[in-house]
Amino acid sequence: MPAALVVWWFLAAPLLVPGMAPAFAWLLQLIWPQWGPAVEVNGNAWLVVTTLPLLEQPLQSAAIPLGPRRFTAAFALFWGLVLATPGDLPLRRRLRQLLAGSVLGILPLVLLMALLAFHFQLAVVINHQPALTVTPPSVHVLALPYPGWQFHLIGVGRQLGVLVLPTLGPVLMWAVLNRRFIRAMIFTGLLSRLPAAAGELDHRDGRA
Amino acid sequence: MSRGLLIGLTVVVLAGCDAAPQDLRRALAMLHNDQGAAAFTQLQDLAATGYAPAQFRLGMLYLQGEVNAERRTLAERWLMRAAAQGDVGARYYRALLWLSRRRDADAVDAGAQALERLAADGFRPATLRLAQAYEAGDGVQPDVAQALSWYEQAAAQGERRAIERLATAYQNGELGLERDAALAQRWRRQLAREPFSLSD
Repeated sequence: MPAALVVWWFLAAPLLVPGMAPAFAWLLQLIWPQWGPAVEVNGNAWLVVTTLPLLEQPLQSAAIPLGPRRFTAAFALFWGLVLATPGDLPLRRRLRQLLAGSVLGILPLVLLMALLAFHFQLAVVINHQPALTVTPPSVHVLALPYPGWQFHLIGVGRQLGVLVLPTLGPVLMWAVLNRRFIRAMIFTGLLSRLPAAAGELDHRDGRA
Repeated sequence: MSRGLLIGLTVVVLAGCDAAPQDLRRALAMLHNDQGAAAFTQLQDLAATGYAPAQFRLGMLYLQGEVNAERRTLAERWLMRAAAQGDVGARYYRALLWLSRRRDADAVDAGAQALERLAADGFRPATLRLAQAYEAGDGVQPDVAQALSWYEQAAAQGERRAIERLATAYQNGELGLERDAALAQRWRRQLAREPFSLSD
């Protein structure tokens, strides 16, 4: 796991942040075409440039910053779990699992986390309402606010994307890809010890 | 089955490539980079296709700088078209344009009603603008009761400038209110809780 974290921090994250930007921009354009979003990469951060007009003269457009590096930590967690899984899995299969899991599982997951976080930032800007440590800019945007219940639901989504998915997502993905190991560990490992342990207890009770 | 999947995927990919918003963003970037003429042409082309955000931006461009009667007419035309499609910015600025026609009572009424509709939709700047208009008699007849009511609505929605105005009004006994230092203090405390910058 430490090796995976080091690889992620020094090698993978600097490549993943700009590398995922086009896919994220495409998703944004799919979901919010009305705001014409585009993603500019600025070091370790993304700047989502929109056509959402701000209420000031001359008209400017809203640009929303987003830090995707924290979400890409899911890759490191997944790699660490795959590499640390005991068993006689051949290296080629393990690498294939690493690659397939990263591309088909973790990458969409990371994009989902970024989308949930961005949606919340957007809602805070549109509703001009500070929430969950996010503060809107001082100027309003020219858009109708989300209804209260929707705003709070978007907040729940943000919490899911920022707090729950980054850790739970990679673990679930690893568990799905290593069902045999999980079965072996739980059924032939933990459960098989139960009768023996119970027998030992009976034996002790009898002796007493 | 696989052909259906392919068609579905193609539709999804193309759906993410809506050209008009991207063209608008490019036109706005050109405006930002002092390529005004090219941006203006692109905005005109986009507006002619019926794309409301481009119509709104074009209308606003006509309102910038030195505004004469011709520019104002053109601005109003594009804002009307965009507002008819529900563009919030166009609805707001069209209402302000109407309110500014002080000699035309019908236009002023229409402006006030348009702002009220926007306020009812939850657009806070419209609520605040109505309060300020009724207080100052800006376009509409001065009416402190109406002004107070709109300020209270805006303040209840968390609008900082409305909260500031109410605090001052209670402090000085304005807007038809009795002086009440305790209430003024209460509004000021709420202001201190709001984590907005004071830049506006």
